[in-house]
Amino acid sequence: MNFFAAQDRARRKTGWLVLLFMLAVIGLISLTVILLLGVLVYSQTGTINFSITALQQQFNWSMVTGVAAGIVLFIFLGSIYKYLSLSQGGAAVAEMLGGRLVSRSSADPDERRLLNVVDEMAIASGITVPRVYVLDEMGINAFAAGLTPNSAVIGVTNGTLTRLNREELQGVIAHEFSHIFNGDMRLNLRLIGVLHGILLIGLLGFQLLRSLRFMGRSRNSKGGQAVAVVMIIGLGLTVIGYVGYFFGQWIKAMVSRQREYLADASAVRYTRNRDGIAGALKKIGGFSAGSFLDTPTAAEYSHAYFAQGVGSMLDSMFATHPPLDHRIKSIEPDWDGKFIVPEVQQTKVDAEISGDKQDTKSEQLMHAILAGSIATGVLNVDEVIEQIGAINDEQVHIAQSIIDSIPVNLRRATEEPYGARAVIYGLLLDRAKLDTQKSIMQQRADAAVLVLLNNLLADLNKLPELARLPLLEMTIPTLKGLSKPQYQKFREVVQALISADKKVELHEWVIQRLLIQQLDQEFGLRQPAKPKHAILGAVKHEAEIVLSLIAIIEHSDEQDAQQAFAAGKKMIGAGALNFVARDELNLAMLNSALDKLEQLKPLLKPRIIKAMAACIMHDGKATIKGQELLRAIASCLDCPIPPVLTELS
Amino acid sequence: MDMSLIVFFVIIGVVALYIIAIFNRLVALKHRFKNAFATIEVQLKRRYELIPNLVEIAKGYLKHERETLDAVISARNAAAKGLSQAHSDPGNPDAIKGLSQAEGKLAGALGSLNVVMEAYPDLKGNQNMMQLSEEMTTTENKVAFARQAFNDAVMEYNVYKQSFPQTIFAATFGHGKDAELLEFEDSAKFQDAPKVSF
Repeated sequence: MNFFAAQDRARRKTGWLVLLFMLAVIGLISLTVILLLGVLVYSQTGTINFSITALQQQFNWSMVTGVAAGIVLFIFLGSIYKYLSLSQGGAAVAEMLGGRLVSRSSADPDERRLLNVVDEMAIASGITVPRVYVLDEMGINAFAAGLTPNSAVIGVTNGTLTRLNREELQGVIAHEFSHIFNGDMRLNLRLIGVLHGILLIGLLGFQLLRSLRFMGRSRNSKGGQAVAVVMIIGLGLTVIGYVGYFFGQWIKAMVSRQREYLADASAVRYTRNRDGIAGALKKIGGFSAGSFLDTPTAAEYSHAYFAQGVGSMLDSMFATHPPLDHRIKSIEPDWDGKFIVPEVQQTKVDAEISGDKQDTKSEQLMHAILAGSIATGVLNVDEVIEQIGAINDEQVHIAQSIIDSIPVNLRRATEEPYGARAVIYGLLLDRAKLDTQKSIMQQRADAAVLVLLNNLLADLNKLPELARLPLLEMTIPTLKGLSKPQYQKFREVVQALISADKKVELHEWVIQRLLIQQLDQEFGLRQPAKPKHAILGAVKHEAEIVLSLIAIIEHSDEQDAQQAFAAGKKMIGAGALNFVARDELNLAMLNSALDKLEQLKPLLKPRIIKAMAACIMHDGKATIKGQELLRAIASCLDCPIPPVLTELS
Repeated sequence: MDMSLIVFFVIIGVVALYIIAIFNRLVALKHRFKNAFATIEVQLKRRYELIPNLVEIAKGYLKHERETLDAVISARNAAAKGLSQAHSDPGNPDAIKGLSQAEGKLAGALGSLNVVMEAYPDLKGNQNMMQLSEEMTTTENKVAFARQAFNDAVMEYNVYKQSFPQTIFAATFGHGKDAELLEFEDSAKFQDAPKVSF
C-alpha cells in the first residue's frame, strides 16, 4: 500500500468504525429505554421492578424515538466537540499532553540532537520540518500528531531524550514519521471522537451520582423518592456510558495494534537499520519507568505513542501496542530475549561542519549528483509515486549532506524568528530588481533585519541550488513562532519583494506558495482544504493549466512542450485535455488551479503527479528547476516528495 | 418525551460545548505566550553568556573603571536570576515584572560602560571586542523581536480573558491574573549598528 492508498483509507470510514458506532448507539438506546421504563415503573408503583411484563406496560414508541434522538444528539455533540478540538492541529494535541515546545535555537545538547534527527528525516521525506515537543516524563516514549504531513508535530519524552543513543532516537522518530505517512492520526481521530461522545454519557451519569451527596440531606419521603430516581438514572447512565466506552476502547486497541507492527517495519525500512528501533524497544523493556506517561490526558492519545503509554487492568485486551517482546521479535527474529537497562547518556553535540570542511562537503554533494551516483534527473514516473511518503537510508544521507551544505550562519539564522525572516528575504533577492527590493525593505521591514541580511549575503551566494527548498523548509517551524501582527507585516514585505518588478518569477512563486500556504493555515488566514472532488473531470481545466505550465517550463521549444504535454496527458489517461499556450498562462491561474487540485480525493492525486513527472521526463532528463516545481506543487497537495529522488533497489 | 425537553437538552448541550471551548481557548492562548517566552529566554541567556567575555576583554584596557565593570557584572547576575524565576512560570506577573526591572538595570549598566569605552579607542578597535559588540547588537535585536511576539501573545490572552462571557469563567478555570507584558526600558543599543551596503 503506498502513501496515497494509506491516506485514502485513513480518510474513509473503515468498517470497524461504522460497526462500532451503530452497535454502540443501538445498545445505548435500548439500555436507556429499559432504564427509563424501570424509573417509570418505580415512580408509579414504588417498587423497583425490571421484569418484562412490568416494563411492557409502560412501553411506548414515542419514548423510544425521544430517547434515540436525545442519545444520538448527545453522542454527536460530544464527538464533534472532541473531533474539532483534536483536529486543531498537532500543536494543540502536543500541548494538551503537556508538551513543551523545543526552541529551535536551543543550546541543550540532547535537544539539539533531537532537532537534527527530526530535520534530517523531514528533509529526506520532503515534508516541512515539524515542530518538536518534549514531555517532561521519565518513561521512554514518543508521539506524532497532526492531520496532514505538513502540519504534523513530533513529541518525545525526557526519558527518550536522555536514555537513547542517536541511532535509537532515529529509529523512534522514523516510527513516528511512519504514523504520519500512514494517516494513522486521522484514522484514530474519528475513533477518539466517537469514543468521547459515548464516554460523555458515562461522565454525565457519574456527575449525577456525585450530586447526590448534596441532595442526600432531605428527610421527607418525597425527597427520598427523588434521590432514588436520580440515583437510578445516574447509575444507569454511568454503567451505559462506561460499557460503551469499554467496547469502544477494545476496538480502538485492536485497530491500533495492527498499525504498530506496520510502523515498526516502516521504521526499519526508513533507516535500513534494525538495531536502532530494536534497541529503543529493548531499553523500554529494561527500564523501570518503561514507557509510561503520567499525564492524565495521556490515555486519549494512546494510539499515537511509540510504545504503550498507559496501563490498564486488562492489559492484553486494551493494549494499543503489541507486547514489547513480540515487536522486538518481529524486527529481530534471532533476539536472545535480553532487555537493556538504559543509563542516562552523556550526549555529545552533533559535530558541526563549517568553514573549509563545509565547502568540501557541499562540493562532494554536488559532485555526487552531477556524476550521477545520486540518481537525480532520472525520474522514473512510477518511482516518483513510490517515494512519496516514504524514506530510505540513502535519502537520509542525502538530507544530511544537504543540511551540511547549508552555511552555518544561514542555519543559525533559521533558528529564531528574527533571522528566519532575513533568510526568506535573502532567498527572494534578485539582481535584476535589487534596488527596488532594497528600498522596499528599508521602508517596510525592520531596519536591523537589513543588517543581518547584509551579513548573510555571502553565505546565500554559496548556497547550492538543491538546498534552497530545504532551507526554506527549515525556516517554517521558526516562523510559526511569530505573532500574528508580526506575520502579517512579514507577509506584506514578502509579497512586495516578489512583485517588485511587476513580474513574478517561477522560483519566487515556489517560495511564496510554499511559505504562505502553510503559514496562512497556521495563523488562521486560510482554511485547510477538504477533499471534495472524486473525479478528475471536475478539475479538467486545472490539470490542463498545471501540465501545460510544467511542459513549458521544462521545454523551451513550443513544439517540445506540446509533445511533453501529450506525454503527460497519456499518463493521466484522459484524452480530453487541451494544451494551454504560454501567452495564456499566468501564475495567478496556477494559484487558483492549485487551490482546486488540493481538494482532490487522495487516490486521484498520484495521477496528477504522475502526469507532471511524465511531462518533465518526456525528453529523458529533468532540470533542477522542473523538479523544484514538481516538488512544490506536490507539497502544496500534501504529497511530500524527497529533494533528490533515488533509484529504488 | 416531549419537544420542550429535547430543546432543553439541546440548549444545555450547546452551552456545555461553548464553555469547554472557552476553557480550551484559554489554555491554548496561555501556551502560545509561554512558547513565545522560550524564544526570548534562549536569546537572553546568550546575551548573559556574552557579557562576562566582554567584561574580560574590557578589563585589560579599563584598569581605572573597576566600578563600571562590577556594576555590569552584578546587573548581569541579577538579570540572569530574574530570568530563571520567570522561566518556571512566564504567566506570573511578579516574575515578569522582576525580569523587566533587572533588564532595565542591566541596560543602564551596559550603557554607562559604552560611554566609558568611547574614551578608549584602542579597546573599541580590538578585533575581539568588535566581534563581541556586533554579536551583542544582533542578540539585542533578536530579543526585541521575540519580546514583541511575546507581548502580542500576552495581549491576545489578556483581551480574550477579559471579554464577555469568558470573564465569568476565567478565574474558575485558573486564569485569574492577567499576564504581564515584558517591557524593557528602551535599551540603548550597545553600539551603533554597522552601516548597510549591498
